[in-house]
Amino acid sequence: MKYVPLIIIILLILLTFPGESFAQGPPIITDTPILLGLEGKAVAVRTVVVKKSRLYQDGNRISDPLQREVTATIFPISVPYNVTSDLLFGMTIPLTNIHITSLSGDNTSFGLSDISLFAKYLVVQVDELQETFRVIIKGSVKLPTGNKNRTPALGTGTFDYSFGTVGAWIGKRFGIYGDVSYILNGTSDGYKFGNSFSYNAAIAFRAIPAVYKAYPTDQWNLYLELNGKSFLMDDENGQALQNTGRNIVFLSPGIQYILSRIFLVEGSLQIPIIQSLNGTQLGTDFSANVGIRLLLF
Amino acid sequence: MNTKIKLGMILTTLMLSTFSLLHAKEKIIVRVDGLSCAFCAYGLEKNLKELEGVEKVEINLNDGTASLIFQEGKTVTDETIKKTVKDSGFTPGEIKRQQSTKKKAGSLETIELSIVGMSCSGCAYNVKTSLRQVPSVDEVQVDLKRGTATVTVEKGKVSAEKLIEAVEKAGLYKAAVLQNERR
Repeated sequence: MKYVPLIIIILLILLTFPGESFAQGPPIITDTPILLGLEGKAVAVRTVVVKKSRLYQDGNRISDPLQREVTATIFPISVPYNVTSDLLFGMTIPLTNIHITSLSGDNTSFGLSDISLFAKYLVVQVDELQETFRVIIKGSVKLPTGNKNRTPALGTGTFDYSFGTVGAWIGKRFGIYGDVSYILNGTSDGYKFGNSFSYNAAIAFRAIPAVYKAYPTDQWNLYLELNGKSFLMDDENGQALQNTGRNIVFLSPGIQYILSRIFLVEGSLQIPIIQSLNGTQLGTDFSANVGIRLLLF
Repeated sequence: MNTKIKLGMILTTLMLSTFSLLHAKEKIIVRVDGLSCAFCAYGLEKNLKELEGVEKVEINLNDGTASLIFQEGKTVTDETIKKTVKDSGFTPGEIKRQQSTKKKAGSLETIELSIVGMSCSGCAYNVKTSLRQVPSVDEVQVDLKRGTATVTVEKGKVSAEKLIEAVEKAGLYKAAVLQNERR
């Protein structure tokens, strides 16, 4: 909660800039309803590093007798393809490296994790001169392609489904984006990871150029995102498991550079501002994202 | 006999007019609503370029328009343009057509201006846009490196002062006449 004034100050600063011309690129973590250009027929390669080392018990940080530290480095490769301007299909292939250190020993797994197939469909499009408001619905299925028997596991061994919606208003120099989705997890060998609800909001601001005069021009965009996720408790053979289930909200400042209109490089840092963990669990220290997107076709 | 000569003259005039129309370059400017991010305009640009007979496509994000210049004698219908814009993910608006027939030799003159204060492609774009808006200007070429603008105008219809005024109106630029050539 101590970050709330900071968020308000940043938003106010952003909103005082004159919106003379055109907006920005797609947000870094929050989804976009734009199914065109770099979001339409492209390849996106990303590196996500998530570090967990802080142990919490009933909301309070405690010292971990095992001194556990988990570092997951994920390399998701996404290929969206828009069949038409309002229908898109795609696939995400994640390579994952998970490294766990603790006083009881170290373990590392590296390999293919669970592949996802996704679809997006544009349901609302209100275009005005130099601005647009769009809404899409989306769905995905996660396939059990990652090895769940390794330690640590690279996959969940289940088919998981998600459904959601994404909306955005993109105006002159600003864009406001939001998405919500519900993830329905499957069961494998009697174990079910808790279903989850994710919600993201982003404000986007084109920092350079201040006025978009010539087309195409390279541009720098700034983002401030809130990324939240709520997990229900896991269950085993119908029995809810303690020390599972959590709510977490990140504040994520990010920066993006678009070269011409076919290449984009971006990065953001996710700082946890709310962590509400059931029982005793490792919390997230931070998550960092660095990625590129390249227009293919 | 007189009637036959008159008929012949009418037919020749009609044929010449048709020939002239067929060999005119057409420019179509279409308003594109929803054009709010540069990277998503790429698909629109690509699709418009694929239309038969299109020689050049210019996307103007500030005006929210796309301009298409066709090869001589070629064109497409408004419906085709609207469909292409729609299929590219945007909403088509008003379509304006301009015929740019070749001017007769001797009817044009070129005025070259030196311009001080242009430091980036945005400045060059500003100057070009401002000069283009002067009535009777046929063509504008801006050379950012040399700091010049070469303006082709209809002979006797535009004064150099008018062009200098247009340049200076575009921003903090100073312009002067380098050369004035009739052709």
